[in-house]
Amino acid sequence: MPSQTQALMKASTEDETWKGEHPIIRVDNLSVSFHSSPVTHNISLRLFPGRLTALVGESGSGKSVTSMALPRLDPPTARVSGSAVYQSAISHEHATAQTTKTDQQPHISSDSSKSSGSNTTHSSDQSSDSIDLLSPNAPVRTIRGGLIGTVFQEPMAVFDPLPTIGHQIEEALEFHTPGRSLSRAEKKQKVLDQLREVGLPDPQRIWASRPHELSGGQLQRAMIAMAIINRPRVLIADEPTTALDVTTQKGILALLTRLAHRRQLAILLITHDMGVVWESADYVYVMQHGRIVEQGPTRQLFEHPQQAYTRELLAAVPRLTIPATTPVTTSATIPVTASTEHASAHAHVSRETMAEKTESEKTSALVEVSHVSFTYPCHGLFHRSSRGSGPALTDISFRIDAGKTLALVGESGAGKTTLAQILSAQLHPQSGSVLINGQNIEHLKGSALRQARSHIGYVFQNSASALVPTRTVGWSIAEPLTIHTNLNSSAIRDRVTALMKDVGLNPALASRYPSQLSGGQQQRVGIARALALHPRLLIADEPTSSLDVTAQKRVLDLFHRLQNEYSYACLFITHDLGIVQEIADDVAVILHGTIMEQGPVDSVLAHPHADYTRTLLDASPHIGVLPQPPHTSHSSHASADDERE
Amino acid sequence: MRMFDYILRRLISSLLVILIIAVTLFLIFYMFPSNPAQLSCGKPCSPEQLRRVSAFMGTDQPWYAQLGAYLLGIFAGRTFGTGASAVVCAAPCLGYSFRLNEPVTTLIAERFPVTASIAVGAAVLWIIIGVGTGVLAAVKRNTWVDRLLMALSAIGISSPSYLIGLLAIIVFAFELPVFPSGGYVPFSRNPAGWFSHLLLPWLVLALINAASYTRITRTQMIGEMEQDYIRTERSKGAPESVVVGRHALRNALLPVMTMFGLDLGSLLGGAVLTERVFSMQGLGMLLLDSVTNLDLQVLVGSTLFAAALVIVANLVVDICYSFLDPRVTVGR
Repeated sequence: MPSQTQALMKASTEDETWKGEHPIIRVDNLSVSFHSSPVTHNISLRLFPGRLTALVGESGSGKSVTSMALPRLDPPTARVSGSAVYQSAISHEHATAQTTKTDQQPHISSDSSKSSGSNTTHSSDQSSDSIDLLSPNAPVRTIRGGLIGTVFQEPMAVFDPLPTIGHQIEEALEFHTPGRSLSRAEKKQKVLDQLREVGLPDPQRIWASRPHELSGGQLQRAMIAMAIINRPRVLIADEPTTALDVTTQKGILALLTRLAHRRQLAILLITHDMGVVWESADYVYVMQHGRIVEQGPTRQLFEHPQQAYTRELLAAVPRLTIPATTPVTTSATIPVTASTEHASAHAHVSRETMAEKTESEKTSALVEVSHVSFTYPCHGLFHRSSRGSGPALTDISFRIDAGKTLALVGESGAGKTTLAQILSAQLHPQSGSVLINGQNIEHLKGSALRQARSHIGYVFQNSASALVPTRTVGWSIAEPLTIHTNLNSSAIRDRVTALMKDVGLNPALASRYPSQLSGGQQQRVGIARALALHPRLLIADEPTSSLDVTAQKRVLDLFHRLQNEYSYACLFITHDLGIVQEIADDVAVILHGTIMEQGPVDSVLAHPHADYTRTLLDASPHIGVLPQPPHTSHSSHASADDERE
Repeated sequence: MRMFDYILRRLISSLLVILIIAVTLFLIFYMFPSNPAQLSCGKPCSPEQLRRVSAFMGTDQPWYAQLGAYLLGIFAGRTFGTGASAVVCAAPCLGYSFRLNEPVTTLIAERFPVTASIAVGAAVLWIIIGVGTGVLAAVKRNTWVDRLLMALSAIGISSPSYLIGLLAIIVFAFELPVFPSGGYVPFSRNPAGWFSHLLLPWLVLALINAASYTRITRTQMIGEMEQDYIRTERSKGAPESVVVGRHALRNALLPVMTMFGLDLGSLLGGAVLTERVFSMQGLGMLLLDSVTNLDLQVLVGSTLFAAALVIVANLVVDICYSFLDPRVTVGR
C-alpha cells in the first residue's frame, strides 16, 4: 500500500495536502515540559483523513507525551505549549476534494513554520470552525472520544476489571449522546455492530464478558471499538500491538489500516518498531530526544533514510531473511496438515536429523528432554484455570548441546513458560524425563536440588519486576553468590564488578535501585544475575519483549557475545521469528503445548512443514525494501522435500 | 455451578473453623482453671456436696466426654441433672449459667439486640464518613484538605473509645443536656428513645472507626487512580465524577469491604468499652460480667458466639466479593 500512494504523497507533502485532502489536525511547535525541564521541542505534524501516520522512536523520545497532549491525556504536571488545530470541516469537504486536485496556497514546510499558539486563522480557507485542542477552554470532554479516539498499549490493563465490556463501551456512547436519546436496546445494538466491525465474530459473547475473560487480541479489538464508537475523525494508537503476539499484531494492524480507509479516519500510530511502521503506515515521523529528526512517506524513508538515528532504528528490527530458494508457501506439493499427529511425525524426523548431525558429540548434549507431558491440576494449588483443563504440554522432546541455543517459539499460552519451569525443576512433569548434564533433575530434593539449580540461570520476561525493588542491583547480582558460594564480601564485590562489565553495565550502577535504571539496563542486571554462578544452562524467557527494538538489539548482541565467553546452552523463549534467526541455532515451534516442528533454524525457516510455522512466518513484519523476495505469492518448487535432507 | 461450589466449600470450611474454636475454648476454660463445680457449690461446700454438684453439671466426666456433651448440646440441647431438679437447656445450647440460672443462649438472645443496635448504626455511619473523607483526601491529594483529613484521622485512630465516649457524655449529656448519658430503650417500645440513646454511642464509635477507613480508602483510591483504566475512562470523555465515583471507587472499595465485614462482625460480638461507658446491657457487658464473676459457661458461650459472628461476617464478605469482583472464584 505504501507503493500505491508514494507518488502522490511525495508531491503532496510540499503543499500540506494529501490525495487532495487537508490535514484534519495540524500540530505546530508543540512542546511539553515537566517541572520546567522540556521533554519535547517544537513538534510539528499533520494528520490526514484516511491516512495512517506513524510516530516512531525509542522509549523516552517523547512520542507518547506528544500524542497524549492532543486529547489532553498528558499528566497534570505537564506544561504544554504550541498549537494543535482540529479542522472539523474536512469531513464535509471530503467528497468534493477528491476530484478537484487542490492548488491551495502552499504552506511553508512545517519545521520552519513560524505559526505560534494562537495564530490559527491563516490555514483556514474554509469557513469552518476549527478547535485549538491545546487552548485552556477547549471542550476537552467532547474532544476525548468524540473527536479523537485513543487506544493504549496494555490491552489487559486498559479496561476497568469489574464491569462487562459491553457496559464499558455503552458508557462511552452515553458520554457523547446528549440526554437519554438512546434506549438500552439501541445502545446494545450499536455496541454489537461496532464489535462486529472491528472483527470480533461473536459480539454477543464479548459484550457480556469481563476483561479477564478475554485474550489480549480480543481486548485490543474491543478497545478500538470503544475508541471509535462515537465516530471520531482521529484515532491515536499508542503502541497498540507492543504487548501482543506477532500473529495478533498482524490482525490489529490490518484492522487499523482498514478502518483508516473505510472510515476516512486519521490514525496516529505510536510505535518503536520499524517493522510495524512498514506494515501499516503511510507517512512516518521519526522522533529522538524530543525532536522530530526525520519525516517522509514510508517507502521513501525506508529506502533512503537520511539520519543516522533512522538507520539505527531500521537496523534494530530483527529481520527475517529467508534464503532465495524459499518455497515457503501453502501448496499442494507439500502434504502437511495441522494435525498434531502429523506434525509430531515431522518433528520426529527433524529430531532424527539433529541427532545424526551431533552423533559424534553425543556426550555434549547438555539438556535432554524426552516425552515430557504436563497438565496443570484443576483444583490444586495453582490457580490457572484460564488455561483450561487440557494438558499444558504433550509429549515434548528436544535436546540442547553445550554452547548452542534452542529457540522456543509460539504465541502466549502455548506452554513456553511452563516448559521453562519444568527445565528449572519448578514444576514436575507427569510423564517423561528431563536430563540436565546427564542428571535427572526430577527426583532431586533439598540441597541436591539447590545444587542442580545453581547450574541453571534464568532471565525473566519482565525485567522490572524480576528484581527486588528495595535492594540495589549490586545486591541482586550478588545474591546467587552469597547463597551458593563461600566467597567473602570483597571477592563477591569483585565478581559483581566483573559481571557488570561483562553485560556492558557501568559497575558504578551497582548501588542504584532497579527503578533508577532503564528497561534495557534492568534486563542486563537480570542477565548478570543469571550468569553469576557460570550456569551450564541459561533459560531466557522472552527477555526482550518488554524492551523497545533498539534496546532489544543491544541485548541480543549481548547474548551472542556472552554465549561465546561462557559457552552455556541456552533455551531462548520468544514469539518473534526475527529474533530466532538472529540468536538461535535450532528452533522448536510450539502450539497448544505440542511441538509442531523443530530443527536447525535455517532449514525450518526456509522449509517450514507445519502450517503454524508458516502462519508465524507470514505474521512477522517484513520490511519489503530489502533485497529479498516477498515470501508469499511464491510458487513452491517440487524439489522442496528433497532439499531438506 | 462454580459459584455454588465455591459457596459450599466456604460454608464447610467455616463450620470447621467454628468447631475448632469451640474445642479450643472448651479446653481453655473448662480444663485449665479451677473446678467450675467448686465455684457453683457455694461457700461451705462439703466433699459430698461438691460431688453432687459435679455430677449435676457433668464435670465429673472425663474431659472428652464433657467436650462431646457440650458439642452435642449445641445441636441437640441437653439436660443437667435428673428428675424434678433437672434443668433443660434447649437446642442451640451454648452452656448454662448456674449463677444466673439461665441458658447462655437465652442470655445472648436478650443482650444481642442492644449490641446489634450499637454496632450496625455505628457501622453505617463510619463507612459513610470514612469512605467519603477517604475519597475526598485522595482526590485532593497533597492539598490542605488532604493534610487536614489525615491529621484528624491520626487523632481518631489514636484515641481510645472510653476517653472520647466519656468526653462526649460530659459535653452532650451533662454540659449541654441534649442526649441521655446512657442506657438503652428497645426500639419496639419507643423508637425515638431508642434513637436518642444510641446517637451518642454511634457517633463515638463511628468517628473512631472511620479514621482507619479514611486512610485505607485514600490509599486504595490513589492506587486505583493511577491504573491504566482511569486514563481509558478519561479518553472516552468521561466526566471526572464518573471516573472517580463509578470506576475508581468501585475498585477501591473491594479491600475496604473485607475490613468492614471483619470489623462489623467483631463489634457485633460485643462493643465492650462502648457498652461500659454508656451503661448499655449488651453482649460486651455480659462478657465483662462473666469474666469478673468467673461465670465460665457464659464466658465460653458468648465468646463462641462472637467468634462465630466474625466467621459469618467473613463468609458474607467473601460471597459478596465473588459477586462484585468476578475474578475471585475463578480458578479455585
